[in-house]
Amino acid sequence: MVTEKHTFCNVCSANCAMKAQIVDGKIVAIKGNPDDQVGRGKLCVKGYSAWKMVYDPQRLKFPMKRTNPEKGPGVDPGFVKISWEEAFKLAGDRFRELSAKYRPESIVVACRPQDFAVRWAKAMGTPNLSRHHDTCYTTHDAMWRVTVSGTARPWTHDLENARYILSFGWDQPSKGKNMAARQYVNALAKGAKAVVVNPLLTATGAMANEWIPIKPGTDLAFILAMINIIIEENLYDKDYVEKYTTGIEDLKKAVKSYTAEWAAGITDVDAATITRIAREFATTKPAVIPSHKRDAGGPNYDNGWRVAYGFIILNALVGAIDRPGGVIFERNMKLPNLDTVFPPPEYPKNTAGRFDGGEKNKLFGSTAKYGNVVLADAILSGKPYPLKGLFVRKYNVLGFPNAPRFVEALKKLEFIAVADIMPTEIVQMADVVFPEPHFMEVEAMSNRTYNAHYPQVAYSAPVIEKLGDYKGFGSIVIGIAKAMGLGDYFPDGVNGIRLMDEQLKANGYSLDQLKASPNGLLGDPKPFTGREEFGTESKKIELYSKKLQDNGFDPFPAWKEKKEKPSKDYPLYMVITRHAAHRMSESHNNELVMQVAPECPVILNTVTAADLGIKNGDDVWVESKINKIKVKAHVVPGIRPDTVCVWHGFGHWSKDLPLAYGVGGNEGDLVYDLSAKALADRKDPTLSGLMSDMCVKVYKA
Amino acid sequence: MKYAMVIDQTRCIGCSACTVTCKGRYEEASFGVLRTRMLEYQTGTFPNVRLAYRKQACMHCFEPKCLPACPVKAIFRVEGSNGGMVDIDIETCIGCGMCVRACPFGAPEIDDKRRKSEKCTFCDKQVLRGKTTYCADACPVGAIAFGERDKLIADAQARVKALKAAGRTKAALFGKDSTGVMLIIDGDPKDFGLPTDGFDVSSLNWLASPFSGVMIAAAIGGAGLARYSERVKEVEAKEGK
Repeated sequence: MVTEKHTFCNVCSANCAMKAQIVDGKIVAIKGNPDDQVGRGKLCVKGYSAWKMVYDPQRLKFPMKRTNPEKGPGVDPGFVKISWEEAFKLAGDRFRELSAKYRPESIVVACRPQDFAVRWAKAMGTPNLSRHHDTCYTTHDAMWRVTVSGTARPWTHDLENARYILSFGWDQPSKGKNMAARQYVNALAKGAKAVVVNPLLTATGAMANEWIPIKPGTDLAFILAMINIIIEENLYDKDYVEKYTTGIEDLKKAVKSYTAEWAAGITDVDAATITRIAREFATTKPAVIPSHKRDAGGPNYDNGWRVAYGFIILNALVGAIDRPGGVIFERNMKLPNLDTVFPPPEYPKNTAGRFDGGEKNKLFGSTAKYGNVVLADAILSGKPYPLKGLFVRKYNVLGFPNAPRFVEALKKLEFIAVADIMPTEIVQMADVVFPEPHFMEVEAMSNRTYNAHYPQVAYSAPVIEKLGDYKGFGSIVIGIAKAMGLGDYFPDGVNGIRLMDEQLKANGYSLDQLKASPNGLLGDPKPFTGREEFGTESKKIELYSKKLQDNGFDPFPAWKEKKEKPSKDYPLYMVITRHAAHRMSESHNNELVMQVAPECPVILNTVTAADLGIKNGDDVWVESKINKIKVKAHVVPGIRPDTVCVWHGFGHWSKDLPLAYGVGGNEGDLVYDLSAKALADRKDPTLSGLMSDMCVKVYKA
Repeated sequence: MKYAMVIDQTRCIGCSACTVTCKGRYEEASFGVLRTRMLEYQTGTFPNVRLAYRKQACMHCFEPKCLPACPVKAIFRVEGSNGGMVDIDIETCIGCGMCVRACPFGAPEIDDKRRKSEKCTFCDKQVLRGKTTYCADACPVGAIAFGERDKLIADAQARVKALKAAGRTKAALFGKDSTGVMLIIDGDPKDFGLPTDGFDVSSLNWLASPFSGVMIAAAIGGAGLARYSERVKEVEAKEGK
């Protein structure tokens, strides 16, 4: 007898609503929920395979402490089982000691934004929340914040109503992203034209009307020429620009020298093509440049934030921001946060700055959506002050730039506490481990941000009984805080379930109502009305930002080259992608996923491979200035001959991940981390990393 | 009702949602042995390159080459499917690999651990109960259509016409007169590792891409033949011949 329970996918932040099919208390499959606006009854390959992780025999099962003081790859931590009380006491005592001995800011809390963790950090008095967004999408987030929204970036596109889709490295369809892939394929079937500018040919480019293999890191030149042509030829949307933007005249002057001929010399795309695409983009309506995370405007190159700003400008020039067929701000419920629902006692004052100096950035600093790029250097250098204790939730070592250096940094810390599901590499470095339940084992709700065309929350029932001695993340944070004597910040009754209930009540619903919903969803479709005002001081989209200028940055995305160019020793550009079935490094021990994507090749052009004496399937070394990794060669014609592409995030050394252990290499080993000074010197208002701004050499292993 | 599937490779993004769903539902086979796989094909010379995917699985031929090739008669046409579905009686199967040798599409695979042949069954138990196939249900971009054959062909032909009108002059429906599973492709069948002339095995490109699925060629060749004669002896001994 099959029973179905409502839940939503927590593999990525799309949170597609799904139904788990259960037989005899065991999940046998998961399906999409047809009433869900995000997934529309389907899931992606990652979602369909997510349930397999629940039954991975390698899952963490109970709290553990380390008995071997030595740490590092190949070192057995000597974990022993302990009780939750002992785990809380151990972490609480150690963090309190470190805080007293070295000051509160010696403790770093590294995890995705989560209300309970933020309160705990503030209660300890540390400003050091470290996050991954600087390796992922801060460029987009910060530029939208500064020039359009005043808050965050939009995550929704209305591609199905677009007639012209121009991608600069935007590649969600080939990465299997459910809502993006569906919309893209449907838009093309309806006759929309797509142009994909990307050094690598993927499904997105293959389906498009044109694939333009641009030279890596030069998209900005293409974009600046487009802006120049569209303004110069008066092709922009006059009504929209006049009504909803500022700065067109300043921008016009600023981009005058960026001609198509100039861009052609930089991008390796001929001037006629650039001109034609500029005209097509401006005259085919609706047109849009979609963006997500690590596209050309992501934190890949030194000029990434400029590209992100360029996307905004071009979308504004054709009236695509918050309009049908364009980039849409999510219409989700406004949920009050923990501190609004349950006001905390006063937090201790600490005037110390962050380890990365990010608070000095008045445009983006307050978001704390950065830090991971600088963390290793801050620990190793002891500057601006010593860091001694670290709490990490689900950030694996392999996700940090220059992962081997991050491991060295971790060895220097006095205490590391980790909350996770699987025994990953970061767990192997931990002094105490807090096991978390899988999302299929907990009650939760999602407000959704991707593809949210109207407010619709999704409910997740605990689909099965917990398979181990787990506590939810909120309870873990509260347990440690209480053991530190910070219980006043988390009095009885302050918990995740009550928070959800209060957040729903603020929107006229309740948790009971959500639980009782027959389709696991709440919220009815509403017709779309585009915004009339935006979140900047001018209430308009700022095409030439005085705010950037006042803070010492270029007021428009002036041309700047990427940092590293091919050299005699490192002659090849490197770009990064991943297989659709993988979610960062989290899926590498998933039995279903590893049957379809068991390896992480380096993709080489046929001609390049022949020159290097490399054949398809050969083991090769890919080497940057800092490290090298051994991977298999995948030789195809669909990549620029001067470029190689590595799949993201293999190279596991945790022996507790038997399917992943020893497979391939971690491209993050090749990526440079930054010091706080190097970050400040770059004059990047978005505090982002340089995740692809390096060149490599490739040779037979 | 004559069941069929049409896989629109011009919509397919190569994500493998079909593969993981199928494998999750039919878990008996060993790790890495798959009933449906995703193959990537790239043709041409930079920068004029074509990339396409093919969902590689049993095509449920009207005249399956595997059926007469099976020495123990484990392969059969599913009753009630009007010839559109081909299944293997897994109890009878001896895992000899003759079906692998015979198949022009590279579909079946031998599960060495279980000594069984593994291939798509068209979800016959689902379909005969009025449900759709698991892969068609899963596909996030609607590239897999399941249903009544004539209706599917009409829809597919309309799609091919639209593709041609949009400049994709090589768009075609593969298998209209010969297979239960048909493919909409944009290019020459040989560019997708498909037989160009009926079921001409010689035209197959078995090793299109080692990273897009599983190496299928390993299943055929010397080892398979040795195993075949070994199994025939086993069966004969069992039956007291």
